[in-house]
Amino acid sequence: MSIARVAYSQDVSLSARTSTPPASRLVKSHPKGTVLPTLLVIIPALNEEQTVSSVVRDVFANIHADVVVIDDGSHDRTAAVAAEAGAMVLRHPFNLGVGAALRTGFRFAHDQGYAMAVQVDADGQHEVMDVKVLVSLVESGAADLAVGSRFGSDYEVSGMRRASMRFLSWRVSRYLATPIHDTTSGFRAFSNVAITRFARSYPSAYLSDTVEALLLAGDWGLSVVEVPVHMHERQGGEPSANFLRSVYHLTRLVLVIALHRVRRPELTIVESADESKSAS
Amino acid sequence: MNRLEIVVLLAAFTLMAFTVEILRRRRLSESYALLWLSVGIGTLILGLARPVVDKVSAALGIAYGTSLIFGVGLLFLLGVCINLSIHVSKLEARVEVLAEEITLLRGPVETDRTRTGQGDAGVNEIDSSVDSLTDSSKDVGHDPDAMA
Repeated sequence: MSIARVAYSQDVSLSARTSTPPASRLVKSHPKGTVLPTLLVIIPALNEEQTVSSVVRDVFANIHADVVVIDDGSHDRTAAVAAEAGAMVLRHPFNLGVGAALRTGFRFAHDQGYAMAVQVDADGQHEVMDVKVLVSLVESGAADLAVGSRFGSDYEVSGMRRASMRFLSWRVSRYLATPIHDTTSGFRAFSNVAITRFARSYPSAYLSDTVEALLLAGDWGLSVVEVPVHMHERQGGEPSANFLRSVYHLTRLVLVIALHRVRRPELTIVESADESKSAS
Repeated sequence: MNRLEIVVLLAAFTLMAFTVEILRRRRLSESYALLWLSVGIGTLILGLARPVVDKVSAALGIAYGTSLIFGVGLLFLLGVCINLSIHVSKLEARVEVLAEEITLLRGPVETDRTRTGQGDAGVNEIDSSVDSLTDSSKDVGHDPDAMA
């Protein structure tokens, strides 16, 4: 155990140790003496070696924040590239999906005591300057969960995708009693309360991680606010566009939404950090 | 509506109600819930559209419509079994990888011998609490029994 701890303090990219106390927050990019960031930028990444580095550097150049890249079982050099760019890197042993990657991020943020977290895509489609907009909403207390809507710019979708996004928007907006146009946006900021909640329970299935999370936020009385953001063309990677697959995912989502109110809450995760605190 | 159709209807609805209930209790993932819900709907259709079943079986050269349903049902269940086998195999592989990950995270077992290079007290003891044991091991070093 002590060997592992020494290794961790030398190289944060090796593995997450939930037993590490928040006081020993280990960040390469911020020299001693500077104020430790209270904001954590969470970047879930799967095979994004082409783009993740520029996203990480972009964040460091513009925002006072720590960056954690959750490598969700990449087969390329994503983890190494992200670590070289100065990010903390946590690696899943195999691919678990974006939702699980985010949950890892939330648990890390919670264990390390960050006040706020922002979720940013690794493919470079989110404008890093917009992080400030989302964060200011959370910082001022206006929102526990700030959603960056792609419909702010000339984001065009067509056909079935458009219809399903409209349906999701209608359903979620009604549930939260606040207009949410882009329910599947992966560009979000979270308050400390939201981090704590989502660290315990976050839906991991594809699309549930965005849509169902909004419903959960509503259940917990978190305030959700949407703001328009700019979108870039994807710098790399391919959009998922299998027709049958999207029909399946949408059907599953309809089932999730229909049953949401009567379903038991998802299994909550034991908070390991609090346990180790009380144990020591 | 004859008696058979009522029985089929009840069976299909029972299946679907049961599926929704275990989904509600989060004992079933949504993907499998969708599978069994569609089986329920399929049962409804096959049970209530007897003429269609008879026509399809006639076209396939099957004498009785019932045989077609048995055949299709059997093939479908076979498919589900194979699918589950594949899923279990994947889970097995993942559990192995996870166990290896935890083994690596735990690191080598430490004993008093490997840590201080002297004394053989507690050699086979697996180190569970590093900080407390590191302190106590100094005391052990001054213990005449441990030195012997």
